[in-house]
Amino acid sequence: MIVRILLVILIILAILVVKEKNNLHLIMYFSIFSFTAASVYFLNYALDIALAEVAVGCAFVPLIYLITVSKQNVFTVLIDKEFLHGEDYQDNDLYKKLVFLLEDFCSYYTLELKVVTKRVRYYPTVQGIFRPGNIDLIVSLDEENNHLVITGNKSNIMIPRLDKMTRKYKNIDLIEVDEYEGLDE
Amino acid sequence: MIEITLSFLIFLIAAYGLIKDTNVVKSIICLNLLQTAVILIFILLTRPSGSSLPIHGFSPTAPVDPLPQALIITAIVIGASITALALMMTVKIFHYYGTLDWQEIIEKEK
Repeated sequence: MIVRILLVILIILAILVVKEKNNLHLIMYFSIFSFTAASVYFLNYALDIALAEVAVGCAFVPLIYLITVSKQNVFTVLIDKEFLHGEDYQDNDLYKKLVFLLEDFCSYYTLELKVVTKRVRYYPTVQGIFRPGNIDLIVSLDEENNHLVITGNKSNIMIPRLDKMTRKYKNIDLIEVDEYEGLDE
Repeated sequence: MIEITLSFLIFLIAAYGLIKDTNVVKSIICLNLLQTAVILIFILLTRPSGSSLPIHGFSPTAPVDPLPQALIITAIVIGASITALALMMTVKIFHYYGTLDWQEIIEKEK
């Protein structure tokens, strides 16, 4: 009898998982689902499976799901270290515009902004930057025209959305590159 | 018999979620649900009524067969490692395409 009630609870939880939109709630429902399934195993005298299910399905798997979902909303921007050269870069007009643009963009799409600084010219290809650090954007300075150049991956769906926001700034250019192209032609 | 039918219902619900939804994370969770449903069916099938714990000298009646349980533990561990691999690919997909929706990724690829 108890097994049947638990199985009905399992069905309800499975329906909740299929219907849920929020990823965090999804993971919590899955954790409860695994715990209920472990109870069913226990009541059917499968003790070692119940132990394994509680350890793996109820704790370890939701943990790695949580890590994935928490990395999902991070928008990583790499800013060229040579642009940030000097002590008064925070008073720079371009820098203020850039910070305003990025914060505006991230709050509109509920992303979490993460800034990394490196010297871009040491990297021979774009692929060497985008792939290992999970970088979404590269910001570097074009010294001839005093323009900021934002480089984004062509495949990324966020770049056209950022492009719409960038159009009202005259000093900021956005270019889309394929991952396998070089940085300077 | 009712228990096995209910477990099969869980299997069907998970399969529906796998087909219908376009979220990558939800697809992987539905795979996990499928696995749990199969394990439930396996355990309920191999347990004859009136049997008891598979511990020697403890049970008054005939114990359940411990061999299927030993097999299923392997399945649980393999399922967890497959989940970890799939989630690692998910992180890479998200940073390449900027989205976790199958439909948007397919449209982008066209």
